[in-house]
Parts: sequence; C-alpha cells; structure tokens
Amino acid sequence: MSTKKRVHVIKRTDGWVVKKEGAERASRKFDTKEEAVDSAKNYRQKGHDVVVHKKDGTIERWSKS
Amino acid sequence: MINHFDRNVFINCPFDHEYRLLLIPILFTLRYCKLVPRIASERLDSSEIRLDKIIEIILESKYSIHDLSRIKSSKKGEYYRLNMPLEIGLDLGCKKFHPDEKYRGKKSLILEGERYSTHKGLSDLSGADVKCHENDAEKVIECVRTWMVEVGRHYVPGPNMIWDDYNIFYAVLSDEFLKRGFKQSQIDTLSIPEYLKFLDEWLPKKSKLAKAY
Repeated sequence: MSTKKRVHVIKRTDGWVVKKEGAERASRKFDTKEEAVDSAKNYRQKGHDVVVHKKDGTIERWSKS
Repeated sequence: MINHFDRNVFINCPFDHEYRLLLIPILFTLRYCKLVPRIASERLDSSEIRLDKIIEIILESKYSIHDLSRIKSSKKGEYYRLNMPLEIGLDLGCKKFHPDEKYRGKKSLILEGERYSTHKGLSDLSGADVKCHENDAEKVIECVRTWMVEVGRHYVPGPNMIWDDYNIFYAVLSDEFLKRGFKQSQIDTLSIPEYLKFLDEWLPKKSKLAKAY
C-alpha cells in the first residue's frame, strides 16, 4: 500500500473536487465527475491511492497504487 | 454514559437502511462540532422498553433533531409511520410543561425531505422553521450545521470542510474495517455505537494531521 496521502474525488453541490487527505482546501474544482477522476489519475501515477466517492459520501471505487 | 445536557442532541429519525445514508452524516456533523448525538439505538438491551429509553434521552438532551421526511407511507397498503410524530410531541411537551425551567431552553431542528411537506401532514407545526434536506447527504450536513449556528454554537466549521471530511472519514473507516476482516457491505451497515466509537478515535487524529500538514 502507498505511504503517500490518499486523494479523494468528492461531489459538491456545485461540481466535483479533488482533495488530498489532510489538505485544508481542495486542489481543484471541476464541473463533471469525469474531469475530476481524470485529474486524480495524475496523483495515482505519482503513487497516491485515489478514492472516488459516490454523491452520498460512500465509496464508489478505490484505486490503490 | 456521562450526562452532558448542554451538548446532548436527541435524534428522532427512522432507522432503516435507506435512511442510514442521512443518519450517518448527521451523527458525523454533530460529533465533528463537539455535540453528543443520543439515539434509541445507542445501546442494545432487549429488556429495556424503547419508549422509556426515548423519554430518558429527551430528559437528558437540550437539543433535538426531528426528521419527519419518512412519516408518509411510500406505497399502497403501507402504514404511515407514527413514531417520529409521537417523539416530537414528547419533546415539545417536555419543553412546554416540565416543571424544571431548564427545559424551556430546549432547541429543536425539524427536517423534511420535500419542501413544505411537513405542514401538509402536521399543520399544527405551521410557522415552525423546517429545513429541507432533499434526501441528500451533503444537504443534510448543511441543514444541521446552519441550525447549530442559529442556536448559538460558537465554533462551527464551514459546510464544505465538514462534507469533505465526512467523505474522507468514510474511506478511513472502510480501510480500517476491511483490515479487521469486515466486508464493505458490513461496513456500510456497521452498528451505530461501533461507528461513533471509531469516529471519536479518528477526530483527534484528524486535527493533529491538519496541523502537521
């Protein structure tokens, strides 16, 4: 398992965000889930686990690096 | 359980699987803001009469959240659900009629799933402020958070911060319980006491992580 911080793709009322665990703010905001998931792939290539959440906050999928 | 009257929040809501997706974020928001959720399922003792337990919780709680979004029957032949209206009646009765003056300061949040639906079925509540969560987890967090500000809680983090941390906590919880031998479906239906125990262990760690970042 990666020792790097996990990165989360989270639904917000006005779009989707990519947020690293422990960060105060989201790194970026997107209009669509697809754009957010695409952006999160960059983190995965750098060795972070990526967790994509459903709109209710539970887990849709977990990509372990 | 230690009695924290000024921090206890009586939760009057359904306990079915579908509603759990709203109940868990409500519990998270309250604990995140240092309040103590009190619900009938907080301890399981088959010999305890449910109504007695609810009355005890009402007497020990300054705050209450009543979710009336599930009182209407959803299909033909199904009964409407009267537990929530009964319990809001008990709580409001306690506020109005209990001889101890401290109960006059009770504060309630009434929630509904569809705007103005509460007043159609419970017109006696006309004029009461009812917040609508639209059966959405993020919105229910916002409703609870806004209410906490309205009742004068001093430190209440922003809605995005609570919502993001709720999502992150769900992943931490899943990761930990998968390691402990649970299936994801069992984690999604974890008992409320177990969920709250793990949340109370995580919250101080989360604060330290945020400071170190």
